[in-house]
Amino acid sequence: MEQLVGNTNLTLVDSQVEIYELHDTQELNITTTEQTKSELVIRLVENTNVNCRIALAPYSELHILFDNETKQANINVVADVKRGASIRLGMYELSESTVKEQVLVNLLDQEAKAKVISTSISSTSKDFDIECIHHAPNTSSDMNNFEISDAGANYTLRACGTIKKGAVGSKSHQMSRILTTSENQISKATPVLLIDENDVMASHANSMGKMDDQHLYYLTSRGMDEKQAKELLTLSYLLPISEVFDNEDIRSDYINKVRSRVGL
Amino acid sequence: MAKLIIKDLHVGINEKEILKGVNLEVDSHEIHAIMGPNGQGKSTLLSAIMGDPKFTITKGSISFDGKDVLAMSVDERSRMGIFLGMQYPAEIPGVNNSDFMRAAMNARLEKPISLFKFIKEMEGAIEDLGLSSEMAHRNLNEGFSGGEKKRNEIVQMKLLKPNLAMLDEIDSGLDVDALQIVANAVYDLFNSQELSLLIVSHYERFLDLIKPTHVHVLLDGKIQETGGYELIKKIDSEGYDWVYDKYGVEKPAIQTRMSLDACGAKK
Repeated sequence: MEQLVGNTNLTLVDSQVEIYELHDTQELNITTTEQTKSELVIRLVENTNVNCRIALAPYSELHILFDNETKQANINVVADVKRGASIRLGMYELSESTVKEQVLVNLLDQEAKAKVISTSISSTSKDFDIECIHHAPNTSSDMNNFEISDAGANYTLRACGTIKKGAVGSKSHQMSRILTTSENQISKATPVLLIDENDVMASHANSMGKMDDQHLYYLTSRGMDEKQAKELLTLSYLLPISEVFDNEDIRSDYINKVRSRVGL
Repeated sequence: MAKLIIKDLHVGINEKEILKGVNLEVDSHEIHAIMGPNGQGKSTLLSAIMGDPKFTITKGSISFDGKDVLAMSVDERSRMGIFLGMQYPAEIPGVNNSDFMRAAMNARLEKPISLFKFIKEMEGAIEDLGLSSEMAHRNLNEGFSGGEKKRNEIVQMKLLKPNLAMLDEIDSGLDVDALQIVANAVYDLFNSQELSLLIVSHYERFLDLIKPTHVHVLLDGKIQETGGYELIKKIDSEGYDWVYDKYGVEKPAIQTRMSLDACGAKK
């Protein structure tokens, strides 16, 4: 694990797999080079405000996860994705912080792709604003958001897919699932599609509510007690974050992290 | 030897009484088939034994192996050896089939099953049911075809090794080949361990393969007729009219369908 201190510019090389710890960094610029693939974990340890600008060179691939461990954070990520490049961007927010996270992905050229996954457990105020803008034809985006709102949560999500004029053949999909575990919480989700072109595909799905009694019945009818069944159902909201990575070590590290978080 | 004893069972849903006094005894290593027209309470009976929270027991008792089933939670019933292969298994997004099965198996073991042993058993069961090995990694029942869901129920039954297995229309949605595979799997399990079966089915073909020792007809919330295998043949050839007549139960009126010209699209 490498520690980053002060404002930093990172240029990634092929097959780079790295975990960075951010301390007082406020400006972080990440650049990929053409036809490379890299995977990064950015762990926020004591920052409160981080602006991250990511530039994906043509035909490069970046898998990047922001893992917040601070008490209060304001994270702002802007990614520009060039021709044929693809980004998998994860926002992992299981801290007890008050956070505001903004993600903007610009799909600038043909065949640019983005997958954004956010996973959060809230018992404080958490605000997510995630947007993928299709500027060019045949670009695709997929946003998956998972939230568990515990007592005291004030969770807000705005997920927006924007297809600009001229971005024919583009695909913008989003799915958000919010599990509420208490009556004493507020959760709001606003799925948005702004489409200014024909011949495109777009969809949004959003579910919000407590655990399904029939799901619990099915699991308990196989012998798990209610606590175990609830843990397994909770896990289903958290495990997708591991899909950000191809690297087996990091992937299993996050699988283990979420498992231990729900007590499995 | 585990025996299921049901006495004067009354079960309702949303204040509507569905079962109106069911009496039934299933001894160890017997196969009981429950038949009857739709909407008479067959699935309700199996769900009440398993403990589906949708239903309310208003009167009566259920015991299994001498223990009061109604005093137990759903998971306790499962761990004591009761299994229900459901008619409409829940689709659970995000819960991986193999994670789920491993947790279910571990729930009844003192020491967790080793990963190696679990994979071997799960792959074996999946193969026996003629399913693709990728089933283990898919989300529980999500996007499964009707037949895959039913076969996945039997995979679970094989892995959990119950003493009382209830199968609720497990044959619906199966093609002829799959029906044979499922029947063989159920019958093999029946022959290899102490197991009683309580089966709800409409189809002679499935019951032919399973060979019930007892056959019951559930009508108007009660078991009205009990017999042996010959009852299946009779129902298959004559239907249920004679049961309605014999027990003086009024046959539900067939609802006429609204014709299209009544939909107001005239002029």
